[in-house]
Amino acid sequence: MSAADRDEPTGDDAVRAGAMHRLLRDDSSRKRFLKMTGGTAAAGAFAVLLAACAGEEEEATVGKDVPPTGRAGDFAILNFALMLEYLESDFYEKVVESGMLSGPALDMAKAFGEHEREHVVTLKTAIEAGGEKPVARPRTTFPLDGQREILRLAAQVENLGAAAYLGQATAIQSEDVLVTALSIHTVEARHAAALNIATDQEPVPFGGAGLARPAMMAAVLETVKPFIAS
Amino acid sequence: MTPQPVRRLGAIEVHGMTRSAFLVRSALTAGALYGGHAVGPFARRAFAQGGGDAEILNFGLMLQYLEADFYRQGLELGLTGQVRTLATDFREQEQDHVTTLTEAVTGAGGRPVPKPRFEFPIEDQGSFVTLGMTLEDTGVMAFNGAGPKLKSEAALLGAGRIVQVEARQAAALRLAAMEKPAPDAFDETIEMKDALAAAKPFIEK
Repeated sequence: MSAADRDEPTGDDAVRAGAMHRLLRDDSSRKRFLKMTGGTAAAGAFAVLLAACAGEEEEATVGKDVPPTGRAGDFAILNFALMLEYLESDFYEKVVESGMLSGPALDMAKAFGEHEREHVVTLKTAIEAGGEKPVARPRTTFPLDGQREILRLAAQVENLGAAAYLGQATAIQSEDVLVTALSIHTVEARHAAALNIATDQEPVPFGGAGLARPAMMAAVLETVKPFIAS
Repeated sequence: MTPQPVRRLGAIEVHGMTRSAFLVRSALTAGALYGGHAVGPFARRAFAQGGGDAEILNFGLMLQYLEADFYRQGLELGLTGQVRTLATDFREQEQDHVTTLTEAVTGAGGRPVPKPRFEFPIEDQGSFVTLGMTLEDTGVMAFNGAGPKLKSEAALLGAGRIVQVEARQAAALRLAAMEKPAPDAFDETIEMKDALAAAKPFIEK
């Protein structure tokens, strides 16, 4: 989870608690934080990635240097989420097809894959219902190399997914979108915890602390780039 | 191993109750059956002040007091193996949540609610795991329900960072109980008043 590590803005517990306290009181640091979470760089990176995976006929909602806010921003976030869910859904599909998993690991991959498919359908429907254009399903490629490595990769993908949703929470304007995003966020977290346990890692992998780390959009997109087939 | 009230309630079909509200109630002891509005003196105190973000954050604080104390009491039962490790780690994480939310309440201009005394119907590792799983699942639903009502982005981020950990704890305890770590594609939400009613049987008079 190096992406989330890089994005972690604070160190120990006291600093973290203090930072939250400060953010609650200080409007300028809140704005600074918001800029960090949904800033120009991320929107730009997203546009590049969308162009790469969507092909020339596809134009997504993010594509300008200035990140959209409000309604447009929410749809950009929904499309970002949809892209991640496409990746995860494809991942589990290929994993199950590979025949490399067996027993409880295979059952888990099937169950989690079904959840990701449901996330895809829900996000795509929400975007279309809003009259916006969903991103195209990217062509994916994953290094599948036996059960152990697959589970480790799955854990990595799910931990990143959870961090990605958390990173967008404060940028979402619509309460409905937020409710949906949060209810997916905690399911990604459940997947991540189960896969961490399956790979002998801690279910709550934040160095003993009780606060999860958000990942910013640009870092997430950078991390998933190798999984997008060019 | 499963506490009887939990198992019994899980089999009851309750007419007209949403699945999530039912889950919360089925989760808890028979004391929770007397309805979603039976909120005790403690809960009213939590709601009497502030309003807005401070009220929601105090609600979260109360749930984290409860969870932290649950792990503390569980560890006194003499848990063993992996469950003991989980309980030890989770107790620390809940304490972290208590600290974060206490500061957040103050930051939002409220007064943190005092910590109540809790009592849990746990007597062995099995009943600990079953109730723990339920408390964490309930915590996830409660935070997911209350979080979107927060006005401050910083408070929302803090709640999000906490709820992700709650979900991870829930998944780990579910695995320890031989249950599916993620039973559905979406986690449902519950209202604060229902979560408080569900917590009430564990608060000592």
